[in-house]
Amino acid sequence: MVEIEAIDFNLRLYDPRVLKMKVITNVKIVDVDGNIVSLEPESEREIEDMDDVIFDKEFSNTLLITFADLVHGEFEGVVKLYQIPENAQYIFKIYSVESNGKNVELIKICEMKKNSIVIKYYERLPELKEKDERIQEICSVAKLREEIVYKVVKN
Amino acid sequence: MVSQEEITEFRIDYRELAKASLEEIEKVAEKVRYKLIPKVNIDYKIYTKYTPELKDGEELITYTLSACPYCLSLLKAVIFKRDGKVWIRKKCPEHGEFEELYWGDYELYSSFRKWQYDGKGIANPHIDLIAPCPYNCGLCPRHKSHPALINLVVTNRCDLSCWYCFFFASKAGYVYEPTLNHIRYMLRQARKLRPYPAIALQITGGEPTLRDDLVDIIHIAKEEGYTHIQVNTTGIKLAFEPELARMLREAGTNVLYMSFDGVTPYTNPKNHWEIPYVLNNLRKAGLGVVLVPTLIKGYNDHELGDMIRFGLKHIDIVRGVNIQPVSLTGRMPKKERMKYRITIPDAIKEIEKQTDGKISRDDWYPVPTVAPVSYFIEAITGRPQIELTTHFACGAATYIFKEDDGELIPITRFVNVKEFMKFLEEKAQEIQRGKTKYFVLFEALRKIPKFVDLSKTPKRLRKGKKIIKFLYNIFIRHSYDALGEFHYNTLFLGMMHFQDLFNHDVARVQRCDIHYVMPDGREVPFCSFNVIPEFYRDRVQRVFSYTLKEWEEMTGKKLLDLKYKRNIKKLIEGEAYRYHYEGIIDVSKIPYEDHVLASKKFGIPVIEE
Repeated sequence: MVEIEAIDFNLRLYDPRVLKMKVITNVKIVDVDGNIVSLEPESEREIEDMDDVIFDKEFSNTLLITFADLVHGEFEGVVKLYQIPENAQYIFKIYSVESNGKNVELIKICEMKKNSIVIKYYERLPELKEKDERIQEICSVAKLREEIVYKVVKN
Repeated sequence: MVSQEEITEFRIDYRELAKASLEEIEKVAEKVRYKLIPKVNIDYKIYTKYTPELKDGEELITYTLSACPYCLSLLKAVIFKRDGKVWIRKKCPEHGEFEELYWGDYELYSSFRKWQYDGKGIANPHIDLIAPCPYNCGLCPRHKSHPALINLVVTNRCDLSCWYCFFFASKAGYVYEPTLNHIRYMLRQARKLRPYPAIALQITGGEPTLRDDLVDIIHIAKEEGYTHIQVNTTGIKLAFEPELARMLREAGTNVLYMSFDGVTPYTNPKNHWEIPYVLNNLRKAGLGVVLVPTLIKGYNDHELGDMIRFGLKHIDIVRGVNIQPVSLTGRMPKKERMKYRITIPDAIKEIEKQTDGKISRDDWYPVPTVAPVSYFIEAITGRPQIELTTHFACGAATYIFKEDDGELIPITRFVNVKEFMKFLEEKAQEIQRGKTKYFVLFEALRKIPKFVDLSKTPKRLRKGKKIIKFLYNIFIRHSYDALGEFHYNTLFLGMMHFQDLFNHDVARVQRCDIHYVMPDGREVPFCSFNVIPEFYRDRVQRVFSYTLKEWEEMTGKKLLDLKYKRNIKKLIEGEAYRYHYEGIIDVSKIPYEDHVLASKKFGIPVIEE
């Protein structure tokens, strides 16, 4: 069974810019039969200094928040560990983001390969398109059926 | 794992790569790139567990990440206020505590901070995330700003041997001089970045004018889509070769970026004597120049006002003065650092003093102030715009209009910058929220005049409300045709404080928009490339270089034969010399011996025939 990490955090920045951000990550899988399953974390722990690369891989390019920003601000966060079932075909990470009072949802999709997890699609906060357009793109990039994507994203 | 020895010994045979096609160069670059990335516990250590504490009388501003000036390990640092100034402190378990002046004025720091805007990052980074910042530069997914200016080092050869420089070929022990094919590869790499590919290029060195194929390089840059090209030079060759100035201009160079450390031989022994002749040749070629003083406290900061007056005197050809407070390199005790350290607010206050308040501290704004202009135009046109989103502490700028009677009017005296930028930002947000563009444009049409005080506007822009028409053209019609007229008799004043390892702040690195493209195809922020040369500039250029022997055999030239020897007597006797400095300094009061001594002390030999 493969283990993956997801991160929830709260951040308040005052320097160099003012930012209040809260992020909650939900993990869902689409299995080989097309079923959608929401996963619960097996365990969780507080974010440590040694998590800098993990954190930045998760958020630096998508939310433009880096570990250096955490050092700058008031911060609390957890790293959640998920066991991915062997019959998983796709992993969806859905990030619920509250940024300076605005709410958005970002999606990242990974495909399970034999010995690795391959990122198929991810969204960036500064270039977020309309939801329908995004779903079309997900379907085309990840080769997923539209109704499945709608279900994952909407539920 | 790659050992330190492997990295320091590793080199490719550049004589072979020099014959390679673009595709072959790309393959080699991609293969080498990851090998050259600094490695934890080999190149640096991570000591972020220790958080520096505040002491009595200190007020916390923020914490950040930084590097140890001696072992380059990653440290936590605290930025704090004390005695009205901003400081940074960090502690390395191996090398002890380092405290440095970060910004010389807390009030200006707070007012500049209000203008921080962050960029949209890089949608297609050139390198994966494998190491902490700042050891992963390339650009990596962490980077917050797209490139505003790309630097391309075309040679590490130089015809000078300034005492403080370790970069030039004979001291480095190799010649870094990428082939034209390799240059095309690098320029293409930088153009690949999204959402905004680089369009502005600075060709730099060493001394780029030493390359016989410099004009070809400019042609290549144009072919690859760069629309602004500047050449960073001491200007010395151009003082004697008017034809070179003409060729550079005709090839598509927009401006020269020329070293200019002061108005006297004492403060500017690098090119004091040649500058008048350079300006003359640039005039003939119709090529503008930005003067670039490196500012050192106690050395040339007393000449700030004169440097600006020199720029204004030659406003027909000088486009700007871009001041760079010194970056302190090497091992230097705090006492010595404080002797030379000058920061942006210190320079701003000096200029206020030395121009009798004609250019005051309120006339300066940090670089990201103009981000709302990009937001607004992007929202209206739907086309991505360049955004200048550096860290607010990195740079400052203002614009000076010179009236025919010599009066100076900073742009801030007749344009309400603060309210205008606020308006543009709000309108861009309204369009994003779905408001019809035409309503917004109509509102802009109505409101723009309210941000201008016509009674304080320079006369030529006041006549017929020309200033309002210019603003309409830019913001309503998006026509930039008349900008040339707008810029007539204006002088850009800028400041850019590149970091060093003592004041190094990762938050600034991540927001940097002045990058270097390296021969392995990575693009690296200025303050990683030059502040940690062991991991970037020197490490990578050495790999893609010729040995001195190889280069000399290949070219039939001797490196040392190319060194410049100065004929001061001839230079100071010329009419151009007197004319250019007249009214700024009294050249007749400087004894010939002083001229010679200044040049020799700096490392440039003097000849008399």
